Amino acid sequence: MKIANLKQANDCKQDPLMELERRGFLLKTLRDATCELSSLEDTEKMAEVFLLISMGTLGITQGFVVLIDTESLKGQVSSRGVEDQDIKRLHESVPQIIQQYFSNTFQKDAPLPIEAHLIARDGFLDNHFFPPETKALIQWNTDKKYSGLMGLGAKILTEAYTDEDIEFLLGLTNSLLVSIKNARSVTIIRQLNLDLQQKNIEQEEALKEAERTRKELDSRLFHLNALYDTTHELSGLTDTKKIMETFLLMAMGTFSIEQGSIVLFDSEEKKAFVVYRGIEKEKVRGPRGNDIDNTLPQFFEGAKTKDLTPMKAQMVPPERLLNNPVCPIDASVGLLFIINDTCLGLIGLGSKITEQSYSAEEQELLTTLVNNFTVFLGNAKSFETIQKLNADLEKRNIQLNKTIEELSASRLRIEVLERAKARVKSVIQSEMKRTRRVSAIDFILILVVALGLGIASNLSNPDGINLVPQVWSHKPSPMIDAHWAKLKYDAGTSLFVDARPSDFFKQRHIHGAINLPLSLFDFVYMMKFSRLDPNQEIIVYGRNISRLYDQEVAFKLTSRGHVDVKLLSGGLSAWKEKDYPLAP
Amino acid sequence: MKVILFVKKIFTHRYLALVLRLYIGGLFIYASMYKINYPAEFAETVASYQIVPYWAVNIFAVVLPWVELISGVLLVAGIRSRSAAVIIGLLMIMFTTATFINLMRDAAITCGCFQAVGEQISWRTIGRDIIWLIMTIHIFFYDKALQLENRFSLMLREI
Repeated sequence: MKIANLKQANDCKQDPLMELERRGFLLKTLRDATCELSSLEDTEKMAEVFLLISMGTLGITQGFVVLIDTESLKGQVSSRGVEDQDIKRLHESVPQIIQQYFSNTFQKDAPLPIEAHLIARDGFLDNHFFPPETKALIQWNTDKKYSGLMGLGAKILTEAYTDEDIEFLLGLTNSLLVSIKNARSVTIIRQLNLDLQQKNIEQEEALKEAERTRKELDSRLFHLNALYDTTHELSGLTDTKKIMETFLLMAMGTFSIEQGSIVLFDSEEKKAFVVYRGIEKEKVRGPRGNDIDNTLPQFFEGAKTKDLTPMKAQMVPPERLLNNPVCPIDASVGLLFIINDTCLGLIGLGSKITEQSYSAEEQELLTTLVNNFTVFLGNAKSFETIQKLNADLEKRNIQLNKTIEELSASRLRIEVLERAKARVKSVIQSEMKRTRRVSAIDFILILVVALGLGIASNLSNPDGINLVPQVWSHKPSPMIDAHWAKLKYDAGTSLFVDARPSDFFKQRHIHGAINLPLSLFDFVYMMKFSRLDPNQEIIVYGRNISRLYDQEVAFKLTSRGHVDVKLLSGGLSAWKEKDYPLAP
Repeated sequence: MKVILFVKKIFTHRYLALVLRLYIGGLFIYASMYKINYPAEFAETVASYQIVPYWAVNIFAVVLPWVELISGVLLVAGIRSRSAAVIIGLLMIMFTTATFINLMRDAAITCGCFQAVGEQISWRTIGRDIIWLIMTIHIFFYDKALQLENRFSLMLREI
């Protein structure tokens, strides 16, 4: 159909009507071509169709289109009626073509008009890139990818290209450019679509990843919760057995375990704590309660050799758990822990209810939990020790208090005794001093007692004597002084009586005096005085400081009836002083 | 030197003092007996010394033997023995002085120490009295043993 149109156009060239028709035909072709091009997507195909329409409409024998990608310096060549070697050469010379026709335009990266323009017409070409028959060359610069050239050979009917032809060609080229652009847009949209799809897929994957992470977080949260709960539950407890029971319950709850057991052995105190759950008492193996046989120490001594650090639980290899003599149950996971050098323990946990095996994460959690648990056990142990110490301290305190009380009581007693002692001592000392001292009171006492006793004994004694001198009760005799007495002596009228004891009389007396001792008065009186005249003057003398002999004798004489009895005043000494006669 | 010390020790020994104490105490008790029983005779003896005034002779003769007796008993018993020793010492001085005075007076009187009749006073009497006085002084200074009064306090001190 196209070829027919072409012929028709050539036929009607001469006359104006024909001319008009031809123009109409060209326009129609242009429109059809535009329609056809716009329905295509592939640029190569577009180039081919475009080439075909151009050649067919204008009756051209050969032509080529080079679509150039200026970035990758590659060209896409479509041709018709061109020799193979020419096409090959064209292919090879694409870089040069770019160098020559496009370099200046694209390097600047400036927006360019997309219109096509004619570069050459009617065989100008002296370069060797293009096929030799190329008569016209149209260039367009759309963008980096689809710029291009179209070369056309000679027309069949007329040699030269008319302006109309060129205009048509340019129009057609523009149409091509538009189509290419559209196609490109479509391609980009499709690409975008693809990209979108890809993104979607990626998004979904990301979503899945997020879900997985969330699950992991959930499990982490669960673990942390378990850890927190365990810590919380254990934190209030101080009793070792209770801690063990609580922990076992928590651990079994956390991992949904059917059976579990904890064995704690204190080699220092030779004491074992055994806790188990989820197993009947009859089926329990190994140590029960606080029974200790040799297996426990042996096992734990063996376990000790491994490098266990306190508060760090260690997983026991599963083969060691099988028929373990210490673990009361058949454990599928076991942890060995150590609290201090003397205190070791083994935790055995049976399989889960879900029959799943323990994941690494769970094992890690379990280890952490057990570590936590050991810390609490350690604390409980410390607490027990502290309590024990406290109790001891209290006991000792009580004892101390008692001792202090006793001491203070003793001190009091000692004080009292000391005081008593001091008192006794002072009393003794004063007594000693007193006995050694000579006091006036003693003299007075002795004298008074002697006086009293003397008077009393004298009164009761039949030979008692008068305490008061008798002379005081007599009527005192008249006195005569020595001189007067001498006169009487000389006259011989007076009788001189010496009243002193005869011893004194014998020593010295007045010459002529008669001795009349008081003690022998009655006898001597009877001998010498009985026949004396009562009126005879008698002068009595003789006294000393101790005895008033003269007075007493005078009294006795007076009482015998003698009237004139006188006492010699001054006595013998007065007589002697005057040198009156004395004998012997 | 040792001998001197030994002699000194002997002469100052408490048991010597004890012996002397018993001797002197017994002597005075013995001496007081006759005087208490025969006050009239003793009064005569006192008077014969011519030292005590006439109005005090009898009361003196009655009381003095009792002073002697009490002092002697106290000395023997070891009760207030120092006071007793002092009294006895004073009595000894008194007797000695009285005897000395009467010796000076050349008075021919009997001693009357133990009996109304008996020895005449002489220098021997004075010497004897002085010996007894020295014994009494010894008792005053060195007597410590077997004192009834000190028995309990000594025991307590030993405890």
